[in-house]
Amino acid sequence: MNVRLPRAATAVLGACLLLGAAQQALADDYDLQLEVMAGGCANCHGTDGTRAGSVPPLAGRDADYLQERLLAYKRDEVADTTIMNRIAKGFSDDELTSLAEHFANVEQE
Amino acid sequence: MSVNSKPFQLRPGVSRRQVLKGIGAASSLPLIGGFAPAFASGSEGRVVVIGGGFGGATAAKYLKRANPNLAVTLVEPAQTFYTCPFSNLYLGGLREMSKIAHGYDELRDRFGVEVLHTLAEDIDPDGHSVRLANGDTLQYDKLVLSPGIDIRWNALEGYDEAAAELAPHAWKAGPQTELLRSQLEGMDDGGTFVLVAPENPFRCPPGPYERASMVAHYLSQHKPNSKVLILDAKDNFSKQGLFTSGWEQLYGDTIEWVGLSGDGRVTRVDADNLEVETEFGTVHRADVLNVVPPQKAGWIAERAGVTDDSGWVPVKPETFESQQVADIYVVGDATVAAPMPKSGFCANAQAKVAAAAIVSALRGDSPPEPYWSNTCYSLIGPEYGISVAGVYRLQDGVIAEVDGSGGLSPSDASPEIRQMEAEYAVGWYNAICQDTWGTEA
Amino acid sequence: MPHSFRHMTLSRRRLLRSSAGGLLGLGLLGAVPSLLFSPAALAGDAWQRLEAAQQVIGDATPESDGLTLDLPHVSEDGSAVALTVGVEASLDDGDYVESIHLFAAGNPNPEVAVFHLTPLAGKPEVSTRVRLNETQQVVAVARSAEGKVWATSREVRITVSGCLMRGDDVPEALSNPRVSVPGSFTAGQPGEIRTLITHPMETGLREGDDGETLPRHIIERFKVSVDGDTAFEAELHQSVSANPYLRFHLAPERSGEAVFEWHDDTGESARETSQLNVS
Repeated sequence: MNVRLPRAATAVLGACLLLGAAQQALADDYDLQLEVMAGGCANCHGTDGTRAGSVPPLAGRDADYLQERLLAYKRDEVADTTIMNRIAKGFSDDELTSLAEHFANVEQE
Repeated sequence: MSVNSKPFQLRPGVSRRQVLKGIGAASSLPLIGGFAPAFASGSEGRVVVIGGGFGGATAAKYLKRANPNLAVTLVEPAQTFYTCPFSNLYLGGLREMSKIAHGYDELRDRFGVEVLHTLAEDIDPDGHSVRLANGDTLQYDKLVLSPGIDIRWNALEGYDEAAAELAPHAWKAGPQTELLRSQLEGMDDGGTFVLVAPENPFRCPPGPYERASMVAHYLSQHKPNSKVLILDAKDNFSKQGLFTSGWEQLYGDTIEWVGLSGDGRVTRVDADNLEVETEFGTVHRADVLNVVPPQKAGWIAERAGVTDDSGWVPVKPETFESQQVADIYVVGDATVAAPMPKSGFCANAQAKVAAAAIVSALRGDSPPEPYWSNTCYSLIGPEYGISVAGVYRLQDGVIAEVDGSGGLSPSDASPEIRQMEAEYAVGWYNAICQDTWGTEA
Repeated sequence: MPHSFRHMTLSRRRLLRSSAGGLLGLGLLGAVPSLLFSPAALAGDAWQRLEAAQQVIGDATPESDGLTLDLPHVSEDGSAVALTVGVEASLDDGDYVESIHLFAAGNPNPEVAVFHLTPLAGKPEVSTRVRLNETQQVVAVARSAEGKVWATSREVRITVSGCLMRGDDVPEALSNPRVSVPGSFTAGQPGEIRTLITHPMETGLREGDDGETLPRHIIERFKVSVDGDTAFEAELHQSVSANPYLRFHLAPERSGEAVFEWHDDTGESARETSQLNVS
């Protein structure tokens, strides 16, 4: 059934909305543009780059290391690369730097 | 005011996961007067998502990630979603069906998506509502359609729904895939598996050729005198050189491919006799017949008024909003998004762009600049993987591949590289499923 | 037949934005108001700007209603775009569609093919597969024996799909001719004929692996005769896809033998025959 709110619940809602307002701060923290740019990474590295498996995780790793690695992939300087060079070449150096910082800042549990 | 006006910066380390867990906890609080607390009830907007595959599930999750104050309802009839990706591995005997199955508990419990296992029957774009099979109506501020494909029955003469029970397409994973597998198991050694491949565009361009590979693998293990015949309505197919050389290396002459110019285009199917006839009158008899037929967008797209006369859905590339109906966003195989192929990876990527566009629109912001990428892995053998990658951006108002990026696995790669790609294919599968449904099969 | 789509005719808005200048340039000042909203003006102005098409049109005022050009909106592979062109307009007694010309406005050489039809061809509709270099307008012009002219154009967007990679085979030119003919005809009624033949249709613009330009090598002429009378002919240029496919119609009055001939620019040819049974 469709949820409809009877009047009795609006007072309760009012209180909850205050809590909700505190949650709005989350929205500012979530950088929508950066998330869209990093979107494709999740498909092999997991959401927020947290996946560990045959494809290495990215979350919380050193930003400089990630940046160096991405730029090396872009320049075909990594031996035995299979796919990352083809992907890295799709981004500008600045974009790769932003991505490196983005994943470095994902907090692990 | 706009989120987009901020330059890329380091962000303080608030873990999104921690906050989202908070949302999950809130939705399990004792309901007050029977209604969930406000920050799960959509104080900032209501989005309905139709379709719980790679596109829809990703859209629902990423909408909630970006703005937990949205009410997001996902409508998907199936309680368990079987992925087309890796369904060929099941056919090849490398994976069980349970290992390509995904449920919706994570979307509910961790992300606060309302998941309704019912069918969306009709859409009223002016009234902004969706009618469900049980007669209920859902109101929306924004609607996301990710309906996948539907088969164009009888577009190929003789291939109707009844024919599909005898000559399966298995182009939607689930019972059709199991049917095809059981037919393969029942085939005598020395038989011929015939695969009819369609012209463009269709779901998963390398799919038929990975299927032929996996069937050849199964046959090499269990029925070594059997053959695979591909009758193709095209002269060129995805990763063709890589497949052709891989087939020779692994399966000798087990797989024969007949292209369009070799009279490979099938114009008539006789499912009762497992026979197909080609354009120039050649009749082929199969012991197992797999027809991948002409396709179109999932039918709900037509109901919504978002399809054009090609049967697919044209979208605005910046946001994946329908070109024809306001406030309806369409992602995945149903869309006209060339050069992006029809793949699960692309559906997931497009869903992220659409989700960001919706979140922005509901706040009155302009959408972020879109980014998409795609990687299609294909297994030619259990330890022989190949891939094609693409990175896409908006260029002059259309989606275009970024110059110099993407491309195919090298044609002369070593066996070690082929094995690494086969392993990465599994890593990709696990990661994308976790990213989409939050589950690992 | 590959599924094909019809475009709607161009909107007035697009016409007014682009072709008003062109019409004025043609010295039709007085007629501009009515011409701006006539079917001919609305249908597509690419043929107005293409000199090769204008040469075929000559002094006539072409109509667009009645000439259909089916092409996909988007093609992921420009090397073989399926196309069907046909005239559906009713003609005066004794008149028949004599020729259909195809052009690819954005290709290095815009001429694609010319189809010469006769009353023996029956239905004036032809399908083939063409090469389109890039997103562009495809133009069709048709003429009837008594001088009626039609013209239309459609835009096709060509995307380069990273998935596609060519196979390495070089087919043997003029091998494997195939003809599909209906089992029986009703006298005077059109039946569909399909033909296919192996041929690289080398454009003369491609470089081989050694950097040398590969010489042009194409089928230039295709001819169908029934009991000695020419029924259908096609002039082909290098924008016709490799392994040329042609679908057209024949409407024989009585049973007879059809002879199919392909001639390429080296002087080589191939020949197939088929019985036409009129019941």
